[in-house]
Amino acid sequence: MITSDNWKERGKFYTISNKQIFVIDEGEYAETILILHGYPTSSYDYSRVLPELTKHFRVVIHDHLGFGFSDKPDSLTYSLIDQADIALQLWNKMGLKEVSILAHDYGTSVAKEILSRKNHNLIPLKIRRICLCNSSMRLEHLHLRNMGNLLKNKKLGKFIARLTSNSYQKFKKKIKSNSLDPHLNNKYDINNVWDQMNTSQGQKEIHLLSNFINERYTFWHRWTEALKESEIPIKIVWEKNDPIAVKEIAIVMATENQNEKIVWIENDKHYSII
Amino acid sequence: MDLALDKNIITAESWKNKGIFIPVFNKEIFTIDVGESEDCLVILHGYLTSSYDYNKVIDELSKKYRVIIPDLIGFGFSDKVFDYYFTSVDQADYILEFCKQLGLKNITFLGHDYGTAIVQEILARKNANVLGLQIKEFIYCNGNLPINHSNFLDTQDSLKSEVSKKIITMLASFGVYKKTMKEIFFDNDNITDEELKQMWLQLEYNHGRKVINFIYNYLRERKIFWNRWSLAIQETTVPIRIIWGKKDPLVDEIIPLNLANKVQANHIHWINDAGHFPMLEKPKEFISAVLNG
Repeated sequence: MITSDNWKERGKFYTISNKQIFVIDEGEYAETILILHGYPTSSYDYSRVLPELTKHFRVVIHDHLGFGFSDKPDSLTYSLIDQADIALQLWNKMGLKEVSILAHDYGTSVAKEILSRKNHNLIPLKIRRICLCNSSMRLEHLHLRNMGNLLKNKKLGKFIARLTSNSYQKFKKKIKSNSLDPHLNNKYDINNVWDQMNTSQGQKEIHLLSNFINERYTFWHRWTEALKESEIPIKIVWEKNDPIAVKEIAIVMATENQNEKIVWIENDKHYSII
Repeated sequence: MDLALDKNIITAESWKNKGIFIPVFNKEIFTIDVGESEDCLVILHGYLTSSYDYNKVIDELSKKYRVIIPDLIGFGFSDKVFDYYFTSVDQADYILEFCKQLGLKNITFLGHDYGTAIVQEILARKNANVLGLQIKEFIYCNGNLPINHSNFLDTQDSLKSEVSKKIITMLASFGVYKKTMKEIFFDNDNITDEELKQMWLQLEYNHGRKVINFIYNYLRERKIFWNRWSLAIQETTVPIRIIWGKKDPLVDEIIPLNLANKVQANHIHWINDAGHFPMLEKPKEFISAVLNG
């Protein structure tokens, strides 16, 4: 087993917008695969498949800001759009010109934002192919409509709870104790809004968590359109039978359960022949 | 309603004839483009309205600048989008491509209301070095700031639906629209029924009224991008100037005061006796504020 420390030693840090971003960069080939990992894990998800992948490709995996060994600025909230900016800056700094992108879970939203920008002529990077793996497209629907059922789900509960408890419950409490006026008219409130900008009060819990489900909802059209309009070949991995459980669990289980892992590796191999 | 047209009023139709349509990706963007200067002033208008807001100031502004005012997608004479929420991020993408197509350089962005959010998104990209565009200055006019969601997580839904309901009511008829719009002027004699009718006609153009109520989503975006957009204006090296209609019932004057404190903008140009639309209400003062810094 590769320990967390081993993994850290294998990578290096790049400074992007004054933040340290952890990057795994292995493989001697010109053909490059960029991997955008999922939530709430890190590049470490790929520790088991990396040796195989690097027999064919140069593989670059970074920990998103706030994940793994990358910086986790407590006082900040950051959006998927910010994560896309960071990835683009990193790849630019590494001098990558032509790549394939493999994205998983949370990473697929980042990939879709990058694809939107690509379609809109905003990035010079040449993208040969994109593979969206276990994209939680359906989760967001269910999550919005049917949260309770998901929380009850044995396998998924743990995962979903992690998504929600830190942000929602704590903030509910916080809001109640503050009993803030919802209206922006009150000067005191507006001062507060701004002044909390750079203080970390209350931000520790939400910095990663509270936004991205909302974001997927907000950017649903933008990102669906990006997939439709793209001239880049896109492969979407979708489990046929039990779309939610299987695919969402895969991420959590990847390092926990041998059988799941094997399925995962086979999928990965299959799709990343890209 | 029978409205006798004042000769001095520019009609929606004649405004349309002043502009051109520029295709950006798959959409037509109605654009006013006047002036010969190498310094470009790109104006991004506010929510519900259009480039027409600037009909009283454009002649003077175009003496110093090449003034480019697109109707944002979904507004005015530009293409409207159906069954699709066109985000501020999309707006920013389109504006960037638009600027590229027109070959604009030395750009001063003037954002008003909703337009300030789009400029903030552009500045965020600029700060992240993922944008090759020369931006000389940002003029920030009567626009709200991103919403800090730690304060508004629970309450935002009621806030959003309240604003949303208000907009729906407002769009029910010209009568209500007229009344609501007048309320956000300092002196409702500063805008005539005829002018408001022209604005209404643009809102109605190509079924715009049906698609324009996305305010709920927009408030959600302001929350999502609280940090991104606040940092964008704090960290930018682009100089920011603030021009503000002082008696704005929609956006409290504490907003520009805070903004001036936190960003590299030490000067607020107050336009007294003007509400949310200083360019319509006090055109002379607005022109002088833009031209004389």
